[in-house]
Amino acid sequence: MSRKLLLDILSALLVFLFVYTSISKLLDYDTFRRQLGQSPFITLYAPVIVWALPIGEIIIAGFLLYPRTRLIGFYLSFFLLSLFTFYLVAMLRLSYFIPCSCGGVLQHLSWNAHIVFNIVFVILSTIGVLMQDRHTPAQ
Amino acid sequence: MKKTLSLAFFAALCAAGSAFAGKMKADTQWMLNDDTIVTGTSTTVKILYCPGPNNVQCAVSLDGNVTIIRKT
Repeated sequence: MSRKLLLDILSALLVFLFVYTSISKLLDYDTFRRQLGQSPFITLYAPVIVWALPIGEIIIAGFLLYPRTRLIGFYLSFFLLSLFTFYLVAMLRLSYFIPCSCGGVLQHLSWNAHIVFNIVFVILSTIGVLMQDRHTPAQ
Repeated sequence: MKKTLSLAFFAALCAAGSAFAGKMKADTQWMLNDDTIVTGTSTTVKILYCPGPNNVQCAVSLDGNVTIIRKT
């Protein structure tokens, strides 16, 4: 499999993830807002995060769409997914009550499955960053 | 570039379609402890009708008999 094809597939997977979860969150806005409001760590920032998170995911997906901005997209994906994974682990270890703020079918995953799912995508983002770094963007 | 763009755009289109299709799909019906019937996803029912620690049964799905207990 060529490097370019692999990068295309990696970015397509991340685009799918971000577009799907962001649209699911926006479609289920009321539930998402309540879930964030109940989250013990981010209650104060919920009014901002409720919009910033899905919009940020769409922006990252936009970066991943174009070869020229794809590296930034991979970096941002790595950052966001790592942040979310740390948040999940912290919630599992420190919080008594853990509402799920994820979108679409992901809300049916168990917490441990969700962490594994996130780690897989963090690894995919890392591979993307490492490969894209050495790859000349398509003109 | 065109091929790259089409693959990523195809993924974006599929994701958007899946999200909208999931939203349009009929939600599960749940019976609360007071015998009230409500409709929604398990997360929605948990948030709206069963807040707090999950150490007691709060609602039962009428379709699959799945109780909403996530953490004891």
